[in-house]
Amino acid sequence: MVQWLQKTSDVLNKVAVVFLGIALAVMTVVVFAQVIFRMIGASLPWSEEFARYTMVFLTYIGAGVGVKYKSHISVEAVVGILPSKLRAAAEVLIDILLLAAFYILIRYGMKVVSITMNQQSPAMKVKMGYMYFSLVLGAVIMTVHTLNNIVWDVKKVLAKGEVTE
Amino acid sequence: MNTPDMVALVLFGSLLLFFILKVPIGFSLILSSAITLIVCVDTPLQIIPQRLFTATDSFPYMAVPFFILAGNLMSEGGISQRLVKLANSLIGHLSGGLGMVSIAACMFFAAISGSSAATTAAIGGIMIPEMVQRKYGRSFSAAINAAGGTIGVIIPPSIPFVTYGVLTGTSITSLFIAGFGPGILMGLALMIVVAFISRKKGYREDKRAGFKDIAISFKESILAMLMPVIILGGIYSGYFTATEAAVIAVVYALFIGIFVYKNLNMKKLIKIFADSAVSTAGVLLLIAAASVFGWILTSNNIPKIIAGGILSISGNKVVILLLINLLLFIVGTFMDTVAALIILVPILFPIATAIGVNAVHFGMIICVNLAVGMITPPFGACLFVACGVAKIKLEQIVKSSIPFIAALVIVILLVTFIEPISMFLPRLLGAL
Repeated sequence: MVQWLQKTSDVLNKVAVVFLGIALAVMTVVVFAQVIFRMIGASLPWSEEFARYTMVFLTYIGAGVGVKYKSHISVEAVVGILPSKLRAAAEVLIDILLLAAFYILIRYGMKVVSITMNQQSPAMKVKMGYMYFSLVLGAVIMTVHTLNNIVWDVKKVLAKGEVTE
Repeated sequence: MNTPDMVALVLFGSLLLFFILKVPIGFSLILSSAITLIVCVDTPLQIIPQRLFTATDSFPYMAVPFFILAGNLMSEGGISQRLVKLANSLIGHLSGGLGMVSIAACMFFAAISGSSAATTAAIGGIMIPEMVQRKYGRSFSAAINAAGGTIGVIIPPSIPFVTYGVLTGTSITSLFIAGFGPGILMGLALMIVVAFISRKKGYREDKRAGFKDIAISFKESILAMLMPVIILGGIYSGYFTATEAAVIAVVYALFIGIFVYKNLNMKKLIKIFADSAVSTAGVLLLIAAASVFGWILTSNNIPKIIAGGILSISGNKVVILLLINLLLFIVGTFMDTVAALIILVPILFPIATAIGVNAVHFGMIICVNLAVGMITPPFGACLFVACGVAKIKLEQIVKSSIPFIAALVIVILLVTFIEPISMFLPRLLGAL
């Protein structure tokens, strides 16, 4: 189970990073095309909307990478001065709180997805539910990463002696 | 249970608790919003995913990924070395030569980068090892480059200006143009400190570069220096939006990185795109989470109540601006710039409007103050980057940073109380 979790988390992350690079490249091409087309007097009706939705997916998929490596910005004032054992325990608590946040995003995100499934986007006429699904998808990926992190963080708490990072 | 006092107490109380626990700021904001909605406000929790989506579904905010990407392409594409060389040929002969060069190079780099940590990384990455080799002292070298990096978000382009502009509905173009005055002032203040300390410690200068050397380094960096002209010229003329200008900056950086400087290959490009996307996700998640938080604040009238409270302490413009600066400075010491902006701007902006401070000028006050927060411990993005490059601990850089922080605090006060520093250029160009 533990190995499976590790592997799933690693594979998901690799796929996510590839997706992120491509998404940013596509956004660049589309918005640049929008400028060029406007200069020659034509206009692309779908370009802005397409780039915006790509950015939404980029945000919530990309947030997972930060969760996996614990690189999201936090306030470093108190936990840093705690002894290493307590700090490891605090890490587990943070993981649990993160899971609570993901639960909210998944549960209520799904509600919004089902409500918006019969709405269409103005320009591309895609179902808005699919766009809102970016949040749910991101939260599911972040849940996998955090479950995997918990295993390691609990191991640190249980380890004997000082823990080295 | 749903009086504004109660909502504010639960919202800020739980947020503080999560901050202390070191829960990432973005998720802290989501969690305390959720708790407040459950405990105090009769709004279904669907509002959280809805607000998160709407905040990121924004074309103006798309300037953020493009400016991050353009900055990364520029620094990986070999532009940093050229800017350092240019700065060196111009002012390398002054007292404290390499220190001066660091600050000037940071100012140049600030004109193509919208981020301070990136500026410190790009210029400090070159200058700190060079300065250490020339016996400037590790902590002094790191402190100079950390301090110089803060200019990154003040001289346009600037991610905090984009954020402030979207939050308050202020023209991003005006903010960009206004940024030059405060940014140049910060550079000058830091140079004075460098000169003063270097003279005292006897750091020697290089010999003056000949006209020919200056001409060569100008020629080598001219393509990079053209980028801000394209960005600002395009936005100012009304030809592009800030986001479109940012994408043009990306294409321009790609072009000169691949075809002119020939420093970018496919392998580097893949890494730059992926890394930039991950940084973008971090910033946008913060912005989105803060918009949920901000929505709860505003829908319960909390900013108006806080503004009323502060205005009842004193009606004096000077006193209120000093109080605001003090608050910003304290928050800036332990909080990231964009996070602080999105939490504080909805609260402080009504106050500024009430005492008649121009929205663009107020943007400068907030952003300069929070930029200085990036070199004040315990949380300072530029300090962390500079320490990483110089391989020293945070404690070691803090002492060397004090004179720079002091100089920048004076700049904050000058920017706050001498309006033309910010407003001269936008007024001159009619960009208001």
